[in-house]
Amino acid sequence: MKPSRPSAFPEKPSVTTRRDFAGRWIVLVLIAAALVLYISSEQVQRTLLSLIFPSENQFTHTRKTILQMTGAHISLTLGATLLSTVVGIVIGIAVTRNAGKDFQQLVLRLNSFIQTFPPSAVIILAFPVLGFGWKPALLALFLYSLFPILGNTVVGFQSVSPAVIDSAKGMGMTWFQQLWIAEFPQALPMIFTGIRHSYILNLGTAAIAAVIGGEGLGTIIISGLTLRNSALVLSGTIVISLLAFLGEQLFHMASPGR
Amino acid sequence: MTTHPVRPTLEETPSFLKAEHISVRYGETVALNDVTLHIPTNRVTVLIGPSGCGKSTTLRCINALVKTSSGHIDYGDASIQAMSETDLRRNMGYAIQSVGLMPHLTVEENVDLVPRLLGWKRSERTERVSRLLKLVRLDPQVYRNKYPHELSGGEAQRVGVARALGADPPVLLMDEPFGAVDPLTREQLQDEFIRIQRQLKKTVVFVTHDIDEAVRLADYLVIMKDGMIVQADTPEQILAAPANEFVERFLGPDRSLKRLSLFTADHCCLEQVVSGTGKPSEAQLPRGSNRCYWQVDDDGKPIMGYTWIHNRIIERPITGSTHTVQPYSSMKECMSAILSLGMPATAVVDDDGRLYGEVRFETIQTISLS
Amino acid sequence: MQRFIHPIGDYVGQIESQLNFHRKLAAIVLLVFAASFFLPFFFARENRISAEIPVGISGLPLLPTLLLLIPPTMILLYALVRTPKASERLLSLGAALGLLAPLVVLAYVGPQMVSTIGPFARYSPGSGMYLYMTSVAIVYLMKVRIGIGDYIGLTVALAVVVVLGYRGSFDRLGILLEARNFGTRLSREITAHIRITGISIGISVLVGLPIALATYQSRRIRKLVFPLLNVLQTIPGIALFGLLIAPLAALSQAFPQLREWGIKGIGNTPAIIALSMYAIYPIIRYSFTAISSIDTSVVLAAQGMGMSSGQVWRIVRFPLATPGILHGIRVALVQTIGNATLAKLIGGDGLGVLVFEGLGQASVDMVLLGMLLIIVLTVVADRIFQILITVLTPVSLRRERA
Repeated sequence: MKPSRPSAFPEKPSVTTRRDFAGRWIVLVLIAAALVLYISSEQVQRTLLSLIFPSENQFTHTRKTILQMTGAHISLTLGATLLSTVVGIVIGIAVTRNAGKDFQQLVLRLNSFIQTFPPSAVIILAFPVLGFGWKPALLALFLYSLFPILGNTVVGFQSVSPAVIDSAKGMGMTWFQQLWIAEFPQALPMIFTGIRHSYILNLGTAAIAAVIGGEGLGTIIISGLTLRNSALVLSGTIVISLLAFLGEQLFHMASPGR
Repeated sequence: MTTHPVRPTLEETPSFLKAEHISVRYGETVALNDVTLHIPTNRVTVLIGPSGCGKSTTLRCINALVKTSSGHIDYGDASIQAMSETDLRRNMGYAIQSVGLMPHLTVEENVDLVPRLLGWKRSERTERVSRLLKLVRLDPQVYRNKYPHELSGGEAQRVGVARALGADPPVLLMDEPFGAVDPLTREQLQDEFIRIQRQLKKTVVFVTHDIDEAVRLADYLVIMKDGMIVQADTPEQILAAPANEFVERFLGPDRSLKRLSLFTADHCCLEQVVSGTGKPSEAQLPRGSNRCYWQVDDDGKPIMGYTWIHNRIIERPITGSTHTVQPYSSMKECMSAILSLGMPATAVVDDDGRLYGEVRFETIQTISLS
Repeated sequence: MQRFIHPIGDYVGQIESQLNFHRKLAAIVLLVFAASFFLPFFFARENRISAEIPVGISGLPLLPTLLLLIPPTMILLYALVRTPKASERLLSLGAALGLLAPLVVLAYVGPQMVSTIGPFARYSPGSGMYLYMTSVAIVYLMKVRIGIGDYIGLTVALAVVVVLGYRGSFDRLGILLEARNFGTRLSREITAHIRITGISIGISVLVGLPIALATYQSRRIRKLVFPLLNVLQTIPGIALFGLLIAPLAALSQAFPQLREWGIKGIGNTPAIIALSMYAIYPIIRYSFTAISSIDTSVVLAAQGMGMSSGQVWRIVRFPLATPGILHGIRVALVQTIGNATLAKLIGGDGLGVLVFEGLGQASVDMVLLGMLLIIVLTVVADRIFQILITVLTPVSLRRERA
């Protein structure tokens, strides 16, 4: 399974001590506070950006506030991630059941095929195929972030030890009980990694989706790029980065480790 | 004490699990070829044979994990094909070699899976788990909340057996359950199995490839080869009269020694002991007799054995478990203890280690020559 | 021992399981086919920027409609026919025709339709046609083996398309019109795109490999590099670009000499710098994995033989790590070709020009042309690199990789 952005280096086994946990909460709150502070106050934006770029004179987008755009961006990201989680897990489960095993090859091949394309390519391709607007953007984001989750779900289920499945069946579990009690908890860590990956993917790709009508922080960044206004670019970038860190922290804290 | 070898017989046992002319085919390969098997109730049936002979396949046909291509299996008066698979399996315990414990559940949660599936109440389940863990000699307080990865091979296998017994099923299916542990642990597990089976008297179908294990545990031994049954009878019969050259070779050249595994100490040759807390007196150990005297400690555990050899009283300290046997140890183990201690008998101790009886060499001799 | 095989029962069993697979495959494919019939098959346009006129299946004359229905029918037959050989042939034929039919229909109906609209009219494929082709793609993706018959079918389809193109049937296809409009500028942008990518990859390899080495050797550097790279990976793509613009712009404002070197906030240079920084991640990561996953027993054997550290590197470590490193470069290459599309946003050249100008002008065909070329570039670069990897991998390791 090679996502287009390879996942991080082998991480140390996550043993969250109590102090670790408290530390994570503090970081989380700090990031969230910074985020809220920034997007809600134009004054803060102005002050911060004028410090870095004293020569610029425009620090906010003429028509859209960063608050609005953050809201739009988050809804696009979360919407796509939610959709792809649900569909990805359902298809992943379907394809690892006896009835669906024939399609596993199709799914895995499709997965590696799509993952060779960088996100920008897929988003921009959405325009000729699907059109302009937030619906095509959402659809494109959904379709692209579907595959990491789908691939990880399949691999997760494939990695369940056959002895566990055999004893689950032999005990007299229905296919659903087998799935829910025996297999799902085992596959969950991999699925979770896929969801986390998709979230980050969607966060960044949603910014690019601005060009095909998916309004959001990308609108601000791109307008900054076209107007050669670095302050605007940085503004959008700050918010996206904060959202990314926030997401990472939340996922880390919620991750089903042992 | 009785000296007639007593083993559960098969004649009076009805059979409510019957496989009639079952065949299993995968594409071009034939896994089972017209196998007919009537499993005696409340007895241990052992299926044994070389790799690929179809023993595991037969087992898995019984709980419908494998679909038969032809033939049918009757459970009571209903056919297995007519029953719902899940209901069937919940009424049969299933223990496999790699145990297959759910790694993310504790021992307790694993063992009470089937009761949970059957809808037992929580209070019933907790009690049941305690009882089962005690049955397999795992202290519930210590083991209930452990995870499978914290258990040793032998402990995991015991939990597997406990889990299979979870909802007290009448039938127990075991597929090489003791195969994945070291020989010492395997022997201990076999001992446990005998002890538990004496208590519960389940209908057990047991698959193994180890002929010694088979002879030791089986009431009804079924030898298979290439998907067919070659010989099916009591172990004594088979050992005494192998059906053909394959069975002879399979049983191995030391058939007569194997017969010794058939009998357990308490079923055939347990004798009264002469024991005390001090050295033997003249009355207790008469000169020239070939009897033994056992010196026990305050708890009743034997510490020293005395006997006359060549006009001298010799004493042998009893240290370690190779010098004593348990009531359900096989005669083979008794022989081994006799030889390692160097006395004409071996001490039999109960579960707590207290002296219980003795098994004499001459008794073993008599039995094996009969 | 006698193998007892019941002839009839066995055969039926085999057939049954195969039939099951046939049915499932056909079901999915036919479903997608059916869906494609509800979407517009192609669009006609009065001129470059006017609104699109969708043309669905219903809008097509009889013959093309029948032609489009032939492949689904063949797939249906494939599911129902019981002889394996015949059904396999039906499948291959159906798939090849499935590729051919829409293109042929497009080639005949398109020009007819646009000639009735106006002199500047053009046509382009619609989502319906894309979905139709997707169901054919599903057939190929689900095939266990791609046989000679399939290759022949694909070649024939390609040949027909080329012939039709020569005859001018595709003259008013939107994409080709745009390509013609661009003229020489097109090849210029393609070259620029390749150049930018090449330089970026070059820089990231030159910088990344030593870093990977250092990370492998020194624990302290590892502690530094790992978290940094994790952070870099967390920040999404376009944000990273943005983050680089700011300092570069600030730098060039502070030091005007840099501007002469081309280091401004905009232009090709910042694009190259950004792309290099982006490409460094997979290179470092894969190179590190490649070096650290070398079997230590091999290294120990070499050291035991008396090789110096440098010899161990030259003779053992580097050759064994080569496939992994090359793989990392390949991933970086494919990624960068795609990311270079965004170079236009910061004033650079490349095929992104086509894309963004097309988006700005709401010209679907321009965007499609740009993306198509980028995809072709990606696939070609990937293939070339695959060959390069095979050539450069020490022969004895090739079997492992296979």
